[in-house]
Amino acid sequence: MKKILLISSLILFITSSCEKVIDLETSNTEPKMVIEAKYDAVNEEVFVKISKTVDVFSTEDFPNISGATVQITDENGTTTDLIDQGDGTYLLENYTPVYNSLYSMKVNVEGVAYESSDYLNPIVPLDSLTQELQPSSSFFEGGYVVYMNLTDPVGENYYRAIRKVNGEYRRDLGDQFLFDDGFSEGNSQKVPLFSEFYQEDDTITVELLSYSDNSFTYFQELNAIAQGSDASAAPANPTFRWSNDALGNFSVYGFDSKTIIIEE
Amino acid sequence: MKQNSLFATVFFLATYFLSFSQDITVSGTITDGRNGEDLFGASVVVTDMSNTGARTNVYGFYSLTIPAGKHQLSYRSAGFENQTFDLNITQDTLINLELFMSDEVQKLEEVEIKSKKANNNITSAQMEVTRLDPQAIKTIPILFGEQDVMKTLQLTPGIKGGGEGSAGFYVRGGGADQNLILLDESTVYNASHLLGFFSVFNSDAIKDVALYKSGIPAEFGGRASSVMDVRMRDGNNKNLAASGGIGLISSRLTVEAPIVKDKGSFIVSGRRSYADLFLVFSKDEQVRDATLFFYDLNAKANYKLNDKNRIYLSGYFGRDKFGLSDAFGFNWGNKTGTIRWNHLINDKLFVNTSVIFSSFDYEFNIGQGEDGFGIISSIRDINVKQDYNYYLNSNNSIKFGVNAIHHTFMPGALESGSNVGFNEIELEDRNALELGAYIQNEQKIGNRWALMYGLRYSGFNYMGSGTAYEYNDEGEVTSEKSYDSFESIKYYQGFEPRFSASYIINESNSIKVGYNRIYQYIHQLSNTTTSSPTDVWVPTSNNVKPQIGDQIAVGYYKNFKKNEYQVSVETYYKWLQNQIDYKPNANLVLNGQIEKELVYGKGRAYGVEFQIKKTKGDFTGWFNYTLSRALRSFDDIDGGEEFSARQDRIHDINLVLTYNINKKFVVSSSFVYYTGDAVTFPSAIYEMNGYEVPYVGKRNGNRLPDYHRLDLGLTWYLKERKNYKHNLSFSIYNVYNRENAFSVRFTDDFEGNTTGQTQAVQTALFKMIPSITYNFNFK
Repeated sequence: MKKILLISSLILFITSSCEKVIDLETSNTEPKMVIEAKYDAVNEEVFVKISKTVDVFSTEDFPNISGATVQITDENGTTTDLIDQGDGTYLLENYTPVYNSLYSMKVNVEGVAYESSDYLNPIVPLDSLTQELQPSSSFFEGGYVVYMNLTDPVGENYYRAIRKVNGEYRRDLGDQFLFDDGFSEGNSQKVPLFSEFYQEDDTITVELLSYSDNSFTYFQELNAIAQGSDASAAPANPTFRWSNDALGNFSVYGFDSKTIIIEE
Repeated sequence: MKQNSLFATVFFLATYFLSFSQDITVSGTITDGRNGEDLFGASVVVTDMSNTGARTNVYGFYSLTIPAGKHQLSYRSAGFENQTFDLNITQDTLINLELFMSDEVQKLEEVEIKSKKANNNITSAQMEVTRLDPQAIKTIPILFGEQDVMKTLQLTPGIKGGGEGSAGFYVRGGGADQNLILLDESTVYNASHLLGFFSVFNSDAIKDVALYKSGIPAEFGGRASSVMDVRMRDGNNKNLAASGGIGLISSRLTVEAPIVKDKGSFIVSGRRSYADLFLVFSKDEQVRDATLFFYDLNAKANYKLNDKNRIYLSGYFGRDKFGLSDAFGFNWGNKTGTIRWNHLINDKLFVNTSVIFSSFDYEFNIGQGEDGFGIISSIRDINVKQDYNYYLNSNNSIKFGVNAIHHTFMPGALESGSNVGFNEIELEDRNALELGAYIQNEQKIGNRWALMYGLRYSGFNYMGSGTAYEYNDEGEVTSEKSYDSFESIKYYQGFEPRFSASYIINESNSIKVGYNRIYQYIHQLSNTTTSSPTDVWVPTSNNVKPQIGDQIAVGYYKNFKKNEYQVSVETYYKWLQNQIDYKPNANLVLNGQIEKELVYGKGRAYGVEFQIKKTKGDFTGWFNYTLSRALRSFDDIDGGEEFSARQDRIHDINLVLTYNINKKFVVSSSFVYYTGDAVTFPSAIYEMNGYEVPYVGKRNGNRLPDYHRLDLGLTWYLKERKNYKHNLSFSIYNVYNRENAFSVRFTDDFEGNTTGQTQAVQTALFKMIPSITYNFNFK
């Protein structure tokens, strides 16, 4: 909506709507624990990063919290420790997945225990990637759009597409592409990746992640606030996914990937 | 039939029935002699009987019961010459009167906000009603030079705009959906064009706008905070006339003429914006193909069958279109239609029967044909209404009536091309019947007291066909049940007392108090802070309770220098129950179970409004200052702690000045200042997935920077020709180029920032905007 408003003002010769840095007072809060935890079932890697919030206009870096005890537990109750890397991150490699099962995680840090869990859904295969030419215009420079072709399995499915372009992961906020099958339950789908246009000889790899409802919703909420949709009525923090109100979440996922080289 | 200073036609027509009592009734209509338009709020005063008189209703009808005998009757309406007769009245009499204005008065009328009677604010029971005559506010500078009654109302006390890019407004701390906006009795659901840059009301087609913000009369119901009653002009029944304007952004044309002279007339008024026509000069194909415009059409006809019966037909049709070639399209609009029949049962009892249609819909398209999909949504009302005015005697005039509205809500449907892979979705329609019945008396007691008291009954039947769901606290469906067409799912009802009293201390001082309770059965859910066409209207249901608004207000009014200056102080306290907000990250689009996304709470608002107004002379205008709060609390938001509503603008100042330099030039200015809107900012930041995420603090716990702006206007009356008048109006919006914050975002990568430190970056929509409009009218 905001975009329409801005384009409208542009067309109405309202010079360009203008932006500038202003001085504002914000209220500060006590630093809160932030735990980013994920289990990549394809690479069999569990990764955790522990940090804290800082003041909005702070010049300091985000603190790295090491010295925590971090454990992952599978559905059978088998618990495995992650290894403290000393820089606020914790790692466990070669951790074999069991699809369609629940994983839980427990983090003990600064005398408080934080717990969370997530469900590992089966991987949805990516049938193919295809390309289509989009002509240039003044709104966007032209190029090739890449489409993902997939068959949505029956039941609720939640996806994220991650792109690697010429060997480099696109990790910016605007590159977060989350979608579900709310409008397309059980259909064959052709899903465009509009956030970037490609030129000939570009190599694009797409990883299609299958999330649980819980993780999908969390990332949606996170993106909504991180993108600062400042026209939205009231920005809200994602609901807490950890016990004891730590920020962040624990997500487990598998993915399928395909690669396309853009041809003329 | 010469129109020098005044002309009056007095008909001593028929006696309807022989009256054996000593009291006789004088009744009739008062109209504008130039074009035959009914005069609403004109008065008839019996000068030999103090404090006895009558005022015309919205159809220009009055009725006055007085003892038989010799009387002096004075007919008055602001801006018109008074007309006074000495009559010996011995039987019931019909007097239809046309009032004219002298040339001097006419000049004055164009630059003033009229009060119905010079000191009407002192003597009527009704709490202060903000009334605007579109003709009278022509010179107030406005964005793009397009005269707009809604924007001008926002310069009056207690009425606050939704901010730039929004046509929504807030009255005394109420929500934007708590204002009942009526155009010839029909509800207008979205009163904005071009995403709020214009309102849907074309001033050329409008006769009168009244905004009731307290002591709301019992004839109105359905919205908790205010009523904005807009009446369309009836059209000139004397001769053909045309008027219009040519501006940079839009042009308008109005044509009106008699159907049968003095018996019936019509008016057709159209407006279209054409900013996008300039896009053809663009080099870019996609920009050339972009569309962005609105148009609207007002049409009305009326015909007087005889002295007892008159019919009116009126309609509005408006639409906004926005598109980027085939890639994207978005359009929305209102349609309304009203059929009315005025009937005089006898010379004391007037009845109006209306059948009203109203709808609003929007449509959203992405892509075309088999590669595209679209979403549509609408709301549609059919309303039947009957209102009686019974002029019991010179001290009591009673109003009563009934109405029934059938609402159909179409929350949304998705249509998809076959290549997209979306399933077609059509959410169930939701139906409801809203009922109302009221009775109200306006009573004078002695010379000092005027009372208005009434009671409204309202009921709301949420009904099938459709499915009703029950939810638990987690928002999961616990049961669902199907209902047949017109089968009641849930019925709500309530009694709404209304009361106003005025105590006249003397000719120039008065005190008024008012109380009203109003039930509101339909609610608007907005996913943005600006009023957007995609805002969803939802009915009260088995899950959603009706909103209830209670307000008390007290005012003191004083006129100085023979009503040249008017000073008023009004204070109010308002309670709001069953307020609606939605859960964090709620999905409002194509959601068939939208009610599970909602949370309920309460609100209160209070404030004091000071105003000083100068209404006569070459120099006119007003200044007002409002000190107020608007607060809400929800159990599910910040643990029930009370927080500021977005529109909680603590200080609000308006200054509007108009000066007639000479017969050729009028200059004007308006200045606005208010406390920045209450918004939610981050209180900390953290890192997730490699990017910075804000952690927000308490709801609306922060403020945008204060808003202020000065506009200037100049109207140049060009040389008049026979039957042709024209002027050029220049305006400058935001003269000193203030960048007012539309929104603020927090980012560490704003241009030129290399430190990595987060900065607050504000977006401003409008800088200084000059404009010019050519206006004309001829007959």
